[in-house]
Amino acid sequence: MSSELHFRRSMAAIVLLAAFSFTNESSCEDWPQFRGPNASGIASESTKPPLHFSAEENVKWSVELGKGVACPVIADGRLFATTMTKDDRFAVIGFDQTSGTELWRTRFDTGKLPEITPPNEHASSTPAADGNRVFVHFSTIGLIALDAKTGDLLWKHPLPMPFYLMGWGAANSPILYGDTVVFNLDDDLGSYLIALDQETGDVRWRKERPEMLGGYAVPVLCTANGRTDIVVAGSGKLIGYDPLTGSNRWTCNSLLRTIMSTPVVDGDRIYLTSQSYGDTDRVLKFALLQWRDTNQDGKLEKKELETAFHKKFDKGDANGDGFLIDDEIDAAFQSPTNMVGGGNISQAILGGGSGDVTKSHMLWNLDHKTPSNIASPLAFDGRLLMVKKGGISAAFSLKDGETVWTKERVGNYGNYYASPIAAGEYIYVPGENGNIVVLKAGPEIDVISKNDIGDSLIATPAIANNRLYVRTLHHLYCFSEEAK
Amino acid sequence: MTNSIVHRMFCQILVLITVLAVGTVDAAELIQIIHGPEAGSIEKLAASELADIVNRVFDDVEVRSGGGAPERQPEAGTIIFVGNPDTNLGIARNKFDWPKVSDQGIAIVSNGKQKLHAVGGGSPAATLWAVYELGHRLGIRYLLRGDIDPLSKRAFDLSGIETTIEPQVRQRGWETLGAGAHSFESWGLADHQRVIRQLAKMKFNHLILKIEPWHPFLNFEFEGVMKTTGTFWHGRTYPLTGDVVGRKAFGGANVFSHPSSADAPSLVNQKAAQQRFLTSLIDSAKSLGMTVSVQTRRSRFAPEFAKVLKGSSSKPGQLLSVSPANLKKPEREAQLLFAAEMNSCFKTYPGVDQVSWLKARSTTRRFGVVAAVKREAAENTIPNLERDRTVGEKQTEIPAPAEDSRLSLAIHSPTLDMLPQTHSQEVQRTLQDAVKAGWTSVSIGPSTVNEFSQDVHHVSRAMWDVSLSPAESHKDLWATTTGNASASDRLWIGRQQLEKASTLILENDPDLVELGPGMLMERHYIAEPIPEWWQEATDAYTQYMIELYRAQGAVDGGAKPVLFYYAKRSEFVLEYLGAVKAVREAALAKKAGDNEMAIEHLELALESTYNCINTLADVARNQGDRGLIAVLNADAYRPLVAELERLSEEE
Repeated sequence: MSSELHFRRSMAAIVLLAAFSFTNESSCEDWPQFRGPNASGIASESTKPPLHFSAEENVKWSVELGKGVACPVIADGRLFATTMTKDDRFAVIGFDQTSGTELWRTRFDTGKLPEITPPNEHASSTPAADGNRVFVHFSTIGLIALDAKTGDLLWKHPLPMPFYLMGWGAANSPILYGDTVVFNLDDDLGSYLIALDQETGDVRWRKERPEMLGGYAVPVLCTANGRTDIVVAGSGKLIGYDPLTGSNRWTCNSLLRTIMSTPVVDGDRIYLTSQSYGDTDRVLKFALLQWRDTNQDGKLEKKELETAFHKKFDKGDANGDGFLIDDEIDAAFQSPTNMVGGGNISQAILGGGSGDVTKSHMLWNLDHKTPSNIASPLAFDGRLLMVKKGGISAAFSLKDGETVWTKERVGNYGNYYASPIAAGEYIYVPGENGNIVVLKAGPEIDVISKNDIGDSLIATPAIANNRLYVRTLHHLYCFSEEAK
Repeated sequence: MTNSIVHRMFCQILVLITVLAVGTVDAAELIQIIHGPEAGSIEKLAASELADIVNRVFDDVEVRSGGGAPERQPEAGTIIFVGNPDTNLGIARNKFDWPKVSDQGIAIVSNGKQKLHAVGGGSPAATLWAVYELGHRLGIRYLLRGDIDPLSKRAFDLSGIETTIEPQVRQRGWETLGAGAHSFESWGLADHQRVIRQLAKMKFNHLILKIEPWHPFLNFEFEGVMKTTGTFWHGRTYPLTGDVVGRKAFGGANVFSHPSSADAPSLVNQKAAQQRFLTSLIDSAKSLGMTVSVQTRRSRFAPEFAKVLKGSSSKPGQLLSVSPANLKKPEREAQLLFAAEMNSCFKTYPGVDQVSWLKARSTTRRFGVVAAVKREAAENTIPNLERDRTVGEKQTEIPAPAEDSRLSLAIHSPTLDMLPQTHSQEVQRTLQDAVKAGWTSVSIGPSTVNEFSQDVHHVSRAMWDVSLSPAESHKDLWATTTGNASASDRLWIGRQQLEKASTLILENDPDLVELGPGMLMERHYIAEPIPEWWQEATDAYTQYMIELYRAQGAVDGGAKPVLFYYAKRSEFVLEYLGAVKAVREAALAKKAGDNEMAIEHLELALESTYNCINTLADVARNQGDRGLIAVLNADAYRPLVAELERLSEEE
């Protein structure tokens, strides 16, 4: 009897503990999409992720994941990552974010994959997740929704395979808004923004973006003027869309030809930094003549382009002579209403406008050679921070664009594809060479540590519950002071 | 009742599946590859390689390979006999019009009406080459780094591939090992064996192992002195800890080591492991019908022999070797020491056919003359180590060959080893002149693979037809593998730019990028402006890089990763040249007393050096690449960091 009572008490204690644990996990901090909440790179609750870590130090758990460059995301105690398990097999994997235990793994046959350019990898789209579902894009499959708890496929929405004139390959990521999953895909064939019902995968709305060239900006949400807009950066234009209908609310015609970085939102302001090769006159035509005109005769032939582009080719070949010459190249591939070139921009734009806001809502616009072409900026602690190749950083006042510093090195050379993130008073700057430099936020650059993970690092890390989650080219690490 | 219907349906489906499956098999063309019943290992290998080629090139074929008689009558499919009339009765009995060929001649003949073909040569090795020649004619291209298959498979058809060819160079040698962490000296057995297999495909028939005085491969006693030195890379070690750049290429290793001795705990074990390594290399070459020679230095020995060499000397930086006092007319001790070394070589390695040494290297043309002693003559021979006076400093004529001599064709310039380089035009002229002068033994020995794949491809073809120009073999390689004539043409323009850049550097500053301690800071941290030709060389490398990136973007298939690798290597060079320029500018600023500017330039140099090494690490694919990364870290990056830190502290 007494042992039965003891058993019952023990069971009750276990149940209570389990319930507590569940509550604790279910209320834990999320990092639900590319670069965390609203792609800001800023943790919503964490204040003390580890400052010192490596492949051997402060490792709470780690797994060998296989090749991929998509960021890890976290929702409701689960972490989701992607990888290629074979040359033609893509997998989405769910982990327990605390223990690293693999909860499920769902595989997809990809079919023949397109050529891509390193360091891009085929497993490149960062999922978006909430407690119930995980959404991810794959170039040859389209958008996929999985059950977050089991990994079961809920629905699949096929989308056309993207094509890039420079062969970069797909790397676009969805976001969640209300009960929709919103996905922007800018390629060189047929760019669009689409919203699907999270539960059914039905299309709520789809907005073509015919003026856009290939790019990788993730949509962000900006609430200003009493409403929320989906804001998407693309060739030459930053556009605010109505999240319920996809209709175009406003356009700022201030961007560059190629946009690979994602804007960040702070309050009612949108900040964007970008570098696009060449000067302002270098429209797409010149890049095509340099890289796609294989025989260098100064004109493009059909056979010099993939079959997917032949329809566009025919559209531009006004005289039907089988060649695209000069303006015909523009007509085929770059919108006449959006003939933008290269350069460098660091901009602050006020949200909530309507119509053409280029003049009315541009708060400041800098032409310093400070932005990266890929890594996005960080709006944090009153400053807009950016880091580019060579570990060269710059920071400007969010308020007025005043220079805080420029050309300061963070002490780690090499390429920067992942973007800086922040928690508490610290900023984490991930370099491609596998070193993550930790800076202390402040008016001067202050390097706290340089942490060597030992593997190529393309994906922006995630922060949740004071843990730092790093997806290197081959591994997934959870760094935490708890490991001590 | 229901069960019976289900059973009947199941049976019907099964029959249908079987019919379909049989139908599929029947649709495939049967290709029988038959070697002689008494065929040796090389002819059997030739037959199996031919089966592999047929499967890789053709669609819808069922290939059966074996010895003896064909399984069915000829009308049931195609039969390819492998060997020659003496080794394969199928060739003798089926009335092929078999040509008269030498032991090195190869023949591919057909009896089209009966779907009969014969592929073979005057010896087992020649039969193997004939198979690879057929592979070449069917669109496979053999490069040092591996094969490139045709872009797509096609229907089986061997019409129009008949040929009979004899080599114009009978001994086609490949020199390997050498000196330097960036070179074949670093390569492990598996990597070497892969290259040897590729060499057989390119019809090389002689392997030359270049052994340095400090290498661990030979251990012998001379006049009471035991050779004890045994190391690699001039005795240097390359740690990979701490701030090493490009470490992703090393898979987590803490030190760059030779694969043959990485796990051997003691020096004795290491020497034993390294001798096994060399023995295995020799066996690999022999199994493919090659002869093997070891080439040692005529005038340099391990340092412990200093006490038995009269007045011997050791130059700074060459502490691992000593020279006899009289190099023009070596004393008898040196000759006897060499003889001891030679006999040790024959004794330790029973597979070695010759021991050779470089008698002279031309300073005006791209060749050297190598003398050799055959195994059977070794016991009674004391080699004459005198320099070959027919190769004078100003002589441009290629001398006539002496007995047992070989012409070593220099397809690379050692001081430019870190750069992509080519000297294809002069190499071709030299080869033509050599054949005209009567040379039948010619060897090549680039330091590593890299861009030399293309030069080796050319020379391997030109040794059978010296009229073949570099442009023709370039087209044969790239137009075939890319299926894109425009890309091939532009790559040729890029290659000419590469040759221009190589020539400019050699003519103006041959030591500009020579690898080794002091290569960056001692050599270039000097307050002298960059010379004018520099920009021209940089522009040529830039154009070469652009052509490569453009072409690799335009093509698919096996050529694409090769071109991408070359493109990244060209980017690597431009970063390094940028670093050198920045170091020079730093020195100028420092001389002008502007330390702040000097630091800024050194930072740029550091960034460029970092990018240079990292770019190479992005595509590093062999021990030579990894060795180069290790050397650049040790001799360029770290001294640069040290100077930057020193100057920053001063500031």
